[in-house]
Amino acid sequence: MILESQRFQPFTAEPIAVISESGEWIAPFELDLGPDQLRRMYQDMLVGRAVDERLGRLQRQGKVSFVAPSGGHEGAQVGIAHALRAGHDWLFPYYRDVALPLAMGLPLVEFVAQAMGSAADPSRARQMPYHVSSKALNLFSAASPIASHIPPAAGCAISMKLRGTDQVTVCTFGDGATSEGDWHAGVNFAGAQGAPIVFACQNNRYAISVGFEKQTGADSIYTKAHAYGMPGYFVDGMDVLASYYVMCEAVQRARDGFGPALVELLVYRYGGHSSADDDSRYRPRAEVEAWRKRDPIARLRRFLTRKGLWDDEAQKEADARIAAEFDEAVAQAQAAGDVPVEAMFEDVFADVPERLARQRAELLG
Amino acid sequence: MVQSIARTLDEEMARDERVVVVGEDVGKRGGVFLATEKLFDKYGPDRVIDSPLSEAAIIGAAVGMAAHGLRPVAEIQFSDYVYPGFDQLVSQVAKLRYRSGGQFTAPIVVRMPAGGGVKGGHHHSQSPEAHFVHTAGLKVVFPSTPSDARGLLKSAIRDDDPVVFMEPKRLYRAVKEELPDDLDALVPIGKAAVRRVGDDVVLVSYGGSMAETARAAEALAEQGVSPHVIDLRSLAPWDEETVLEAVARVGRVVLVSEAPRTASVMSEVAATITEELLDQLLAPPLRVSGFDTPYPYAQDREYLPGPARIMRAVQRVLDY
Amino acid sequence: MARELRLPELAESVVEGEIIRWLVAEGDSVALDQPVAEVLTDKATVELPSPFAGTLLKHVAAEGDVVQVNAVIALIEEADASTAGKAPPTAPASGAGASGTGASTAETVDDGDKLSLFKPSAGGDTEALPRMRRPADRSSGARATADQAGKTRPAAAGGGQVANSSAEGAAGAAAEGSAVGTRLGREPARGAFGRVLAVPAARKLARELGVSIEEVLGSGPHGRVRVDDVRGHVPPAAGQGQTGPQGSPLPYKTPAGYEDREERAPMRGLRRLTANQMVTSHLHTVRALHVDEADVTDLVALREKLKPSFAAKGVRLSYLPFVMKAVAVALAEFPALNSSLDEVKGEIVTKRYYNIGMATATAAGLFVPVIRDVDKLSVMEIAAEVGRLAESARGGKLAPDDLKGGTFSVTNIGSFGGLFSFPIINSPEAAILGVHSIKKRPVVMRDDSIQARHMLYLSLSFDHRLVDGAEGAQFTSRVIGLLENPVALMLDL
Repeated sequence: MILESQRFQPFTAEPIAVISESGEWIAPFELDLGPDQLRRMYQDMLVGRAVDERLGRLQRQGKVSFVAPSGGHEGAQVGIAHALRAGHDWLFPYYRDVALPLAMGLPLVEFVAQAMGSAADPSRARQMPYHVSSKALNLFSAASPIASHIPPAAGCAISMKLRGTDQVTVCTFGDGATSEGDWHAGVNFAGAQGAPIVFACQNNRYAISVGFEKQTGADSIYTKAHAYGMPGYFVDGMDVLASYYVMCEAVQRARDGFGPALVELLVYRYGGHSSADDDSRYRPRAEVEAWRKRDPIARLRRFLTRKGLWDDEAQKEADARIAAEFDEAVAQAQAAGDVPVEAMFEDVFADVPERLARQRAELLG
Repeated sequence: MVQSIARTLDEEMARDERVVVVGEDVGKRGGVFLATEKLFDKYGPDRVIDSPLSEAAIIGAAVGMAAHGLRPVAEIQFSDYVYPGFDQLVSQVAKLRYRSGGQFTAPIVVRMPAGGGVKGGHHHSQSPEAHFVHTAGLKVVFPSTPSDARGLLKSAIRDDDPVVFMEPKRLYRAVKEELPDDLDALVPIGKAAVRRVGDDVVLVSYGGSMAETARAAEALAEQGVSPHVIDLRSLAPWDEETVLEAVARVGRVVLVSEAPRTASVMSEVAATITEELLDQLLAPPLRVSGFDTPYPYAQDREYLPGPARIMRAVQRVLDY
Repeated sequence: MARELRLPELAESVVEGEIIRWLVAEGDSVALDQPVAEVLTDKATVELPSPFAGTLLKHVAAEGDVVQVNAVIALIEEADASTAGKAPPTAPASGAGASGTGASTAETVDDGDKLSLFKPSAGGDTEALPRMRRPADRSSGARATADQAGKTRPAAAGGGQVANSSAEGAAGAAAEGSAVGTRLGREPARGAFGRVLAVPAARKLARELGVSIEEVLGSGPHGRVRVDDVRGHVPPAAGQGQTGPQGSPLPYKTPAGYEDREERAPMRGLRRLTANQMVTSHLHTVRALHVDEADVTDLVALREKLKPSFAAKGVRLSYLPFVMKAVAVALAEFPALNSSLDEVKGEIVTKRYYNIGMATATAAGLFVPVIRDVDKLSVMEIAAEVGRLAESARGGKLAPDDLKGGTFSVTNIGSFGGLFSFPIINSPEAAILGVHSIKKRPVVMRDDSIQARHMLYLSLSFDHRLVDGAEGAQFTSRVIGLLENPVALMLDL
């Protein structure tokens, strides 16, 4: 079970961090990421944050029916994305993953088109916003029923193992998911089979309004890994580099045949659960503000600034570029037009069965 | 029938190495009904996967395996135990193709023995097919003969969409039949079988209830009433053409299924008959079914629609 | 007391087991719950504990035998009656023996279909199956609907079970129809909201025929209108509608003082159907009658001569086959007699097949079984078919197909006496031939001598819309000519 390259111990009492709040390198090993990748990680977080804010605006304009704010999750998500071999490994995401699929390479227009229900959505506008999927990226289709994707993720990893494909499955979810029976079923099966999968919990301490202390009697998520015979890692999810390095190690471990791992990334959700939620009913503002001060984007920026890899000029340029890219994505999504009504009857099965064809005719007249 | 299923699984696993079997006790035990007998010895633990005792894990994992390129055949030990996996069937299996716009598919088969008549009480005897038929995106079949079980299982495994494959457990060893040698003897999903041609009343049934329907048909024929007997075999999609053609010709129909009556598959058949053929009916379509009670233990036989109940319904439609 | 040890149902879906080993030998004593045998099922090998204490009398099943669940495998002489109560019976006693006999009868295959795969459970079906009652209108109703399902054509009155050939031939109809009495009330039966009770197919037929369902009296349970009720409904004749409410039935008033000397019974079943068919024929044909006589002296002699050789082949030879043969020949020459009128399309349908119905009185009522393609049959073959159908009719075993597809009918009225009658046409056929009794009469011959000859009256009743008077006469003459030269008839001309 022990890797030669092992940097992190499982089951640490404190969350693993590699840069401090003030942006200093504090890990006991050398940073081995080049400037380009560091800047890319930073900008991937910026994109996630921008999409979050811009889609919120589109929602208030009636162009998008719903948003699931992910501000505060960018560090964990970008760290996970960079730990994967895009297009080779598989991701089973959940609906709050925004920066994650985009950092994996999902074209922005696809994300925006999915949210807007436009014909540019490769999923053909079948789901509410924040439920992306991409066959090209092995990005499994997100589903709303919480934790229902955990057993499929386990199955995918079992398939990888028995076919010897050298792939790894990463499966993300929030803290609420860990209460579901399906979560147990999936994690347990993966554990029993020693499947190459990393379960990555973005613990933002709220399932809509229900706080973590009501979600479980346990102090943490990662300690539950004991019960499934796999290592549990506790990570500061507001530290993108810690998220990246721990995920890398868990992924490599799985790829090398050492089985699954559970990684808990401690994050915070700045916004409400969704555009339909008023979080002031259950969360003190002071708590939100305290977490905002630990913002993952600001933290990495301090680190990059210290290293001379980022400045205000770069920031301005990046912000403008991302805004333009978003505008362009919205324009493209709108230009693609609506999905035709008859598409409602397609993809239920490989072919449209006779009975459905009659129902389609009934609708179309 | 159960040997037919084991043999078919063997044939399909030999044909296509993507076919794997996953479920509780499917390995060395060969399944509690021996539907996966000898497969473990032949194909090993990588293709005959003993799962934890979790229907959600079995069905859910099958989805992931299928999305990754395998053709899993999941076994649920009794259909009465499918409910922990129901979310997987409804939220993941049935919706994957649709919600991903066809990018991901779940070509899996979920096998489950169903139905009563084995003195199993409610948790070993239920007929939950209506739940699945009501779920868009699932195909549902319920064969009654060994050759249909084989032909439909082959079709199900080769189908690009998920198929719930229900098996009438009380007929597992009660129905015997020579199987053809042809390894590609498929029975198409969605096609009913006409078991007997007749003029006086159409009897429609499927699965385990075919046994009682057959006995009623024989007794009716002996008494000079000529029944036309249809075995639906597939419940979603079901063969409207064969049923409507027969009912239009005969004008009288009795629908036999041991599932509880309310909102049953046969309710849908009756509604369709009424919508399409009202003018041609000489009597209302009558359902002879299980009752809207949990499946009982002591009244195991009485709950099932037996030949006498079927014949009384036939009398009603003849007298109407 | 000897008790039967039966193979219990050992697990779900197990239907049989193999006796691997007897653990108690014949003649040995056995205690309650003591294992007596090892049984292998396809699920597991199990030991059977004895439900009785006593002596094992006999191994009914030998080692290696595969036995059905519930079958007797051993006999145990129970030690004392007090333990009998404690012993749980392994199967209901009523299942005894059913496994053996039940299995063999279930082997019967139905028309090559797969129903025989489903054998009765080894325990046997102890459930008593109900006796089916066959409603009188069952087959005709279904079939008419079937016809409509295929094509849009009006309900054909022909092909029903009920003959409408001659009024005097109709025997009293034994009511074997629905248990619920036919309503002969003067108001149609209505549901809670005033809608007439009617089978959907009957409503459709009524719409097609332009009949108001409100006017039709129903013969079904609770007075429900059925397909045959609509078909048999008497629409008000043209011009008659002024005189009274449409289709209002004729009331019968008992003369004063006779109240206690009359009996009333509901008109139902075949009697009612017969009446309906008669009315249909009456209203949808224009009947004309042509009567002639045939000198069948030679035919009588020929029949006497042929009788033994027919009898040797088990065929009873009556005059009817000769008449049918002659009719078939004449129909080919006068096709109008073998036609029907499609009133809806306004088309005459001329049939190039010759299926001749023979009115047959039975205890249950009048039937018109049909002999098919008479033109292609020899007299011997016709005679055989006449015998078969007559017997089936009397035994109530006519198949629906036996009653379908007639193009012309023959009614033999001779046995009831009389000179001649005016038969009712079996709609939608164009004509019917009444055949009367053969009697010796004095006949003036060509040489003016008077001889006693065997004479036969023939009465042709035809629909004058389809058949002209001359055609009717010529047709009859042709039939007579053939009957008077029976050898030519036998030689198939």
